[in-house]
Amino acid sequence: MEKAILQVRNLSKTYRVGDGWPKGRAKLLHAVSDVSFDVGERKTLGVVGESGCGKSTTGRLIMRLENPDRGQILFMGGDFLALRGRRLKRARKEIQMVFQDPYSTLNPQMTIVDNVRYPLLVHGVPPREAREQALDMLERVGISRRLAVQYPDGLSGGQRQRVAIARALVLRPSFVIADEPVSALDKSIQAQVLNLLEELKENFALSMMFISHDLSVIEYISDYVMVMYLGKVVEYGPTAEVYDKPLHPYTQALIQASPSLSRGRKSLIGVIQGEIPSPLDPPSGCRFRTRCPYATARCAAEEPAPTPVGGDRTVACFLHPDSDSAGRVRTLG
Amino acid sequence: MNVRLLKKAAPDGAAAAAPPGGKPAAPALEAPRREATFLSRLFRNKLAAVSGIYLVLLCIGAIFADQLTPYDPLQGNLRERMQPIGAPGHFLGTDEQGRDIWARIIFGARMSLTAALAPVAAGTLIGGALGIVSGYFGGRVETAIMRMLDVFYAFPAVLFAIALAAIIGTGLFTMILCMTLVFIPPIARVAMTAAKKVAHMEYVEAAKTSGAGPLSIIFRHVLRNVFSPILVYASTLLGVSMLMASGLSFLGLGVSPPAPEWGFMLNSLKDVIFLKPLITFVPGFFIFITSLAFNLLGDGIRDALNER
Repeated sequence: MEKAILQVRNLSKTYRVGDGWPKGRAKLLHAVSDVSFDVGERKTLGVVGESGCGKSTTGRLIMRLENPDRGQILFMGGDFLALRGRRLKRARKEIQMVFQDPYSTLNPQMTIVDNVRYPLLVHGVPPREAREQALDMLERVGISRRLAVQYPDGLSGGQRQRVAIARALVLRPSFVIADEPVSALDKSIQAQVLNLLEELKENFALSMMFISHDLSVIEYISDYVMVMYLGKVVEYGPTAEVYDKPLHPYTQALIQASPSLSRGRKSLIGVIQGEIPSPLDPPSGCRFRTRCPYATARCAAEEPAPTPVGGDRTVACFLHPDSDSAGRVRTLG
Repeated sequence: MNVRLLKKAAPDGAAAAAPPGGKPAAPALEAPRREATFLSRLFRNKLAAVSGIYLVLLCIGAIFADQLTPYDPLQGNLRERMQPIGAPGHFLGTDEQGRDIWARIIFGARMSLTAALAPVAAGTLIGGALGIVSGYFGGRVETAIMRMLDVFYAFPAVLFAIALAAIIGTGLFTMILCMTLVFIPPIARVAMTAAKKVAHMEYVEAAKTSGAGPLSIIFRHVLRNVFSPILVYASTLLGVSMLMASGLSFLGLGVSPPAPEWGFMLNSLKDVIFLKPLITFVPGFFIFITSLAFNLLGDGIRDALNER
């Protein structure tokens, strides 16, 4: 891969849930466990997985809305987690986020243009100039000046997300994390917003991390895809390749289970059996083993690490021989 | 209109093609018109309107009290004591020391209104600030502030007033201080609940990711969203405040003689209640209708704010 704008290594976050003190122990929710990946410059990484797999939490950790328990985040070459105060504030101009819920993402007591120009005001842009820049960005996402001076209560979901995108871009970031930005929208509106994002990625030379549970959306917008399950990365690689020939049983099942009009499907596996285990008590070894038709005793005993399998692809599964690293050959159990 | 929609397909394509549920295209071309109609919504409520007018007149009367009566509210003519209502020269009668009651009412309005309004205003500012900070930050900050306020919550107002009077002496200021401290915890609670809801909204998270500090976020995002519930609650306290002030004065925990505060007037007139009952009702009557006016106005404010 070419130069990476974001490098994440061994990111982990565990939440303490429930009363600590009556029974003497709180439960631990393993939201994100040992996640590592890169995002290339001007590339889009799609992060896909079921609800509760940790994809949103990963995004929030990168944005530093929460602090990771362990791990390293290198953004534009620098240690992002080490930044504080004014340096962090300046760095935030380069990395912005678009959120999921169109109806709580805008302040209802501020006009649309005020919502969008707020980040500029935070960074010291004079109010009048900030207003102009905000209006300009809003035009670019398809919100006219006349609409922009209104309050958000008249806007549809799709329009609100456009405003949210304008707000994210107004600081001219290099990197945008989109956390399920179209999940709450109707399919036809999803298409509009996705096309807008494609256009903006091109015009503003953006690198992007796009989080979604919708496989077809991820396929459309991502250059690379990362599949997560119960807080772990199970597969990673260029989108077309992963979708065409998924290696991890979970990925295979996901693709098999998703409706598609165009993609040729390989009948490798049926519908995924069983229920997703609780992140409070994940299975030992490979977390997917309880639902995997190929599970062996080894899968319960050891945890497979994400292993390079050639062509920029990575899989965390004992089924796949390690083709790159020297000296270690994995065999089927 | 349809032709106009089609022509605007490019930028506002999303707006025209998928209009927000039921909303016609025309209002999208007007400037925002929310703030200006608060008063018109308020005055649609006749009771609130009448209450509002009464209170305004009362305030004006209190300010210009010396224009409205030739008599001295503090010094009476003992030869004219206990005149009934409608007596020549004293249309509301005189009290047991010969002071004109209307004069005492209108001068007393200064104290009574101050005693009712100041604690609510101060309580809203202080309680609101404490509540917003608790609600926004949560965690240990919230626990610290709320437990501290719980101490004050537990205190009965009268007991508090007695204790304060023992420490710093009686007087209007003591009474206002006492009532402010009594009002701060409930206002803080309302503010905290409202702020908590706002703190978890995505627009606050978005503000954080822009690099804004907590102060900026609170002033520019949180405040305008908690303003309404706090104000509504505070307006319900106005009526209570009036009664509490009168009650404390009646018990002698507020102003001292010969101050014409309404509650205190009840105190001095209670001794002659069997001699001339109608005169003793006058300050009570004013306490009653003023408190009622505050309540009705408060209801009107709440309805006008919620209608939006």
